[in-house]
Amino acid sequence: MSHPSNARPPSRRDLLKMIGLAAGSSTMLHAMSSLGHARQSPYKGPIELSGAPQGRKVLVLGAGLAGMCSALELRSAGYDVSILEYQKRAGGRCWTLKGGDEFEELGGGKQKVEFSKGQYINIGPWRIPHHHLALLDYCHRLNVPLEVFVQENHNAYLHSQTAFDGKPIRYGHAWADYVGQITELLAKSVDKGRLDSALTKEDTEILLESLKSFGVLNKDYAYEASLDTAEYRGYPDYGAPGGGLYDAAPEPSEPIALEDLLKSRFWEKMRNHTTYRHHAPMFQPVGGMEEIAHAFAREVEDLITYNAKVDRIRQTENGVEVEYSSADGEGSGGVATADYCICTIPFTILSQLDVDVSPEMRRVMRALHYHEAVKAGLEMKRRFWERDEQIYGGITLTDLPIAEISYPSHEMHSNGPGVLLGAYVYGPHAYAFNSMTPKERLEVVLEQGARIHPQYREEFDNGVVLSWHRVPWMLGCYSDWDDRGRDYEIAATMDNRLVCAGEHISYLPGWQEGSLLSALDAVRQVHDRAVKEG
Amino acid sequence: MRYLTIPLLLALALPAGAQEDNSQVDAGRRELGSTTEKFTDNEGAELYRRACSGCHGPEGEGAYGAGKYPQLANNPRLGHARYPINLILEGNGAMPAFDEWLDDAQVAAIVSYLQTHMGNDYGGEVSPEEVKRMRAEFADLEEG
Repeated sequence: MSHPSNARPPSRRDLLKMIGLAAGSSTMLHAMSSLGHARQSPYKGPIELSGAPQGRKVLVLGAGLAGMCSALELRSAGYDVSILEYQKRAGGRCWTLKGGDEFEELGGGKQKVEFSKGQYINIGPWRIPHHHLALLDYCHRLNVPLEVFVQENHNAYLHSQTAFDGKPIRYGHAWADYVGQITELLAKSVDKGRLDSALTKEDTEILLESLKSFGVLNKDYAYEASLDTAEYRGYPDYGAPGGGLYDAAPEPSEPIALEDLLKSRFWEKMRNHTTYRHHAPMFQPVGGMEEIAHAFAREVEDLITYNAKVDRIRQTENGVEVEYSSADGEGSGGVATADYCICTIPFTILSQLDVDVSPEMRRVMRALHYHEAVKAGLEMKRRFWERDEQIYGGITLTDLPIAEISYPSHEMHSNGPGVLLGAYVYGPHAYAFNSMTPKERLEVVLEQGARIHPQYREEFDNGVVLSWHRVPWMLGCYSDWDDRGRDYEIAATMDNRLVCAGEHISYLPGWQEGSLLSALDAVRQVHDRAVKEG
Repeated sequence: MRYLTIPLLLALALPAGAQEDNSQVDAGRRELGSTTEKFTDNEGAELYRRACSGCHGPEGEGAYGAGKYPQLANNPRLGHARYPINLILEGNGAMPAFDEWLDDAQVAAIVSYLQTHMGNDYGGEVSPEEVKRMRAEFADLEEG
């Protein structure tokens, strides 16, 4: 390709700007991806639906994000939409608990949230990757302010009950020392020609140089206590760089022995924050995740019938008929009819209902299981993790059953209280928590957390612990596909006049992005069918 | 409620040194009857309480919301051991599969417990071998 010699060829960015100005933002999005700007998302901008036939009705089951997104897009395309919702609130798992909230779980346990004004816990989804473009786009379109969510924090802890006398270790110390020492081993092997390497002499020299730099090794390829390594792992408490005369000169800090790091099994957790879903920066809505649900509800609340428990879904050649009753036993139910149905009811529940679907779909609904999860929100009178331990946001990981302690990313440096995520429990431990009363769960969460932060003893004010298997409208947390294969295709394909949507119909289980991308695909299927049928 | 015999404040008031005591660590594991990979109890009643009662109820009474967790008390379906063994290993709908978290003897202990408690009066002599055979059958089915 040649250019006039007197003109600078337009840069790729210039070109994008021109295309963007000329044709609007969705063209820009499309052009950006075709020109090679990596976008780790299949989302290509707002869905465009034209030519909807007059007067077609769509019934949406469930007012979570998938249901409300479907309703929003279908109504704006010209469909007559209504939503049935079991709860008396919209949002589903996009759920933030605040002071004054009350909820009753299966088995009758009741919890009243007593957090101070402005404090909250996102008891469902709690963070948004920067490449969840559909969710971010809806946040932009629906005016949901976002702020940074701190995922990785080198000053948070790794903790093992059996290593380092059960004392927590700063994540950054373990990280720098582990990388430094495995790099040292590798560099020494390469240097002595002990590795049967296919590298040329020149490449071997570069490799050694890079290992030295990456691992912060000395001239003999050793990782040792020095001012160089302290610059990466941090200084000792008594020897951090200062000013003036007293206590000013920095001192090296002592690395943790490789042997101890290996035995601690901390390395199991060291890539936790580095999956692409957790790459920094992550985001959260200002004021709680449920702000996203509120924003959708502002658009579609007039379409929602709350307190509606779906009992039967009947499909005929020409339409869908859904019988529902009042979820709390007060008030009446009814029958809702439509041409098409988008069903976001989780399969834990849908598989128990009387639904006209193909035997294959019924089999898949029963075969898909859901993960267990228990999450705790603990209000502390004082943000001791910040003031005492200089931990601002991020996550401590432990081999205790509570598994995690996450520090709030908002209101950092405030003098007021803060709410910790005090547990995020999976696996058999989660069933053990599930079998306890809410009060017992809270006691166990506090006892375990105090092993990492003894301040719990003084600072705890109030808290809640939710076990997702006890949530009456979920019976589980999020979908757990063993192997998607053909079953996934069956679940995601329109069955007569009904199409399923939600995080379970996605390759992003448990993420709100999965719900939205699934909803947009369901909307597309309904629209294509409606256009075809006229 | 073995795991909560110590009142909370007392438990929290343990001296910091107690954290270094290995018996404390072991007690911590025993408290929940589980690890991240396994349930660790052996007795049917204890396993039922840990793994099952959160959903099906301490007395097997079941639970009812938008969907339900079936009642296990006075449940004639428990008469044939194959039925509960199948559900525990493979799951169904809201019932997750527990095959990776319970060994054959633990599944047998739970099913024996279910068959002889909460108003059920059936055989109650399920053997680990029977569970083992059913695991193998399911593995064959999945491969076939």
